[in-house]
Amino acid sequence: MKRLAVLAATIGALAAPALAHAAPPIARPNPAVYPVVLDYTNPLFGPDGAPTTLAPLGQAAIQASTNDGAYLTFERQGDLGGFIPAPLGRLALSSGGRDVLAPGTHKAQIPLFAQAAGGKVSSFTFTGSNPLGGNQPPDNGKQTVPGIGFPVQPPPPTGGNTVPPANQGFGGRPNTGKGSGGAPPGGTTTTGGGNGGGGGTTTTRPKPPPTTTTTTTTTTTTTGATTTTGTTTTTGTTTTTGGGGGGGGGGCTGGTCASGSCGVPGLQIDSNLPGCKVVLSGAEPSSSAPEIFTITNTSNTPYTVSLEVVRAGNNGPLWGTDPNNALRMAAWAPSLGGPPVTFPFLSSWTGHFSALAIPILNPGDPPIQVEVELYLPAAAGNADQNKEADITFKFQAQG
Amino acid sequence: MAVTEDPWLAWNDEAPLRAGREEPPDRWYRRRELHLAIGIAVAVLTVIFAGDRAAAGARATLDSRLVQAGAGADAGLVDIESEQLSAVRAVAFTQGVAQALAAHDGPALNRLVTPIQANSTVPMVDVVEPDGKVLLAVRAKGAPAPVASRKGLQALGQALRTAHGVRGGRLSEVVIYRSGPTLLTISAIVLGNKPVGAVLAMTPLADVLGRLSQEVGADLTAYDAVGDPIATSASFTPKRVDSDTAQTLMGGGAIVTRYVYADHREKLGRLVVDHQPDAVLGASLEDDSNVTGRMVSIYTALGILCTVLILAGYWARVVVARRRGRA
Repeated sequence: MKRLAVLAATIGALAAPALAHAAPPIARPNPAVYPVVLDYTNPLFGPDGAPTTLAPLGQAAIQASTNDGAYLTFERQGDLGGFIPAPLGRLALSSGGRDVLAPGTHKAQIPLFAQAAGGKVSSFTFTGSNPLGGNQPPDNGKQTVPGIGFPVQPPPPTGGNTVPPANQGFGGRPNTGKGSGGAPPGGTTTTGGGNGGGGGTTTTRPKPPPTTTTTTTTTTTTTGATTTTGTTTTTGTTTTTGGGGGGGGGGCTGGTCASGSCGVPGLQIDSNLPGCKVVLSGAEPSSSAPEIFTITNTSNTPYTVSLEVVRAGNNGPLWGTDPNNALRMAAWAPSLGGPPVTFPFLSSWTGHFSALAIPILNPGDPPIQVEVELYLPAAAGNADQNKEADITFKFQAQG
Repeated sequence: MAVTEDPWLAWNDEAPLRAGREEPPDRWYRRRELHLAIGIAVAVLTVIFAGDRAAAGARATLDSRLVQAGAGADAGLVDIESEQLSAVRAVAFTQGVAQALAAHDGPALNRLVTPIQANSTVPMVDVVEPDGKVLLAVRAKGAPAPVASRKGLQALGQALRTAHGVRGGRLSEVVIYRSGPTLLTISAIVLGNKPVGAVLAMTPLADVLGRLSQEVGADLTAYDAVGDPIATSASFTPKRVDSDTAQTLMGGGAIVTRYVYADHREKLGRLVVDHQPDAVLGASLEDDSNVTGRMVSIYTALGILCTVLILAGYWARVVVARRRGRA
């Protein structure tokens, strides 16, 4: 009897893998299909592969769409799979959010032209003269909003379908570049890591700028002669130590430059990073560290703006151990186009001023944003990895 | 040698008194009061440490959940961005739209654009001329009312300037209108080689957060680049974020943890739109770790008390048995 039991157990053990293989495979997500890919560049392609256009959608689509939307409302308590009771009568896409700014309700400034689907869709257009006189101020995101004053403009998008920077804010690669978790810089808590929005990217963001002292010198050249007009020392908040004939910190306007102002009278330069410096830390191949400067001519003289890179605290090997794969840097105005195809070597920005590829800044011109990005080439060797480089900038305004 | 089931009965704990000698005084470390005090101190510290550890564990779990909620919100935002992008592409690439816009023909635009808006999940669509004048506005029920002009809108200028660029003048960003903060996706509309206007697909940021909040199961709040709260899905009014903290976060800083309202714990990161951090995003939930810690403290105290009672009962049994043995 014992022998029979042992034999049966042996046969069962040997057959288990075969039986397991006979079971239907568990479906896995196809990584080539399931991610949402944001494509800002390609037009719509037709069956022949050429760009094409869509035929107009019939008016019946309005009613059909609203009817279909009605079917999406939660009708049963278990519509959320039993995890929590579904809010009956509410649409899955309905909102539970609210504006904190309490903007109130506004009247339509355009006359109602038509309604469809029982008033669920309304169209507004002018068919004759503007009954409101056309004197309404534009709503363009630059008007005063109760509660916050003038809104802060977000950085403009970069050109092309650029690889998104690692989202260290939530779940992406932390700025130490050493995997999940990371030392908490600046006294803040880092609990990032894992596979969040930035997962799979090879781009890293600069670590939070320390509140160390950074010196930015603006040099104004008039009639061919260079004269230093001011030195600004930034320690989180701009203070002025004077120098030359200048003085005065970079005036902050709109509450946007509490700690990032790098400018002096005549040329206001605000940075999105406090300290007016950029740091690339924990460098890996294809790592990058961007910084955005907002430059405004506050003088009465047209200026051409130039930039020079100054080595700061860390003069490590990233500055050029391997001449082919050393750190590179580019500066461009996102509003005028994307970054250059090839980034110049960082060393080419040192020792002299290089004119930025932006128009001459005339007095009264709107601020222009310039993005500066450090980049470690993908072919960088092991000697250049996991290193740190921090640089500061000198700006020159030539009149 | 005698064998007994109760060996303690044979043990005489009374010290043998020798005639003519006084019993030496107890050492201080052998005093019962000291032992009692140490026992109580150990019990109290055990209760405190157990409660703190339990609270810390619950808080760590909450923190992890908040980080995942924030990451999920940013991932969900890509879906909404994609929906808006799809809508603006559909408008910009529909036959006749560019011609109607160039001819300033609002009714013709209405015939072409309204079905596309209704067929999408985007509540607000504007078709504007290059000077910012809104020629057609389509609104879902409940959406903010249209305005006559978007002149000066940063995204409009950029879309028209880059209409011939690689992106075809398409981009997304958060704009704070007078009607409230809004997630905007814009696309240039080109007739021949000339941009004749643009189409704007917009969703109030509060609605975006409300939808994402349902998906990630946490309250979400957006703050502008200087830390002022602009939209939230929470029932309370969040307090503002320090400006330096907000700017550091926007510039790539690590997650910041704080209590945003009462015991609502919040993780602050970035709201990423079109690959750019456009706002500070906070994910918050009520922190009940103190309740967990308190309950664990109570259970621990009860456990220690019960242990003391059991040992005391055992000790009493020994004493009683010994006295009976002597009697």
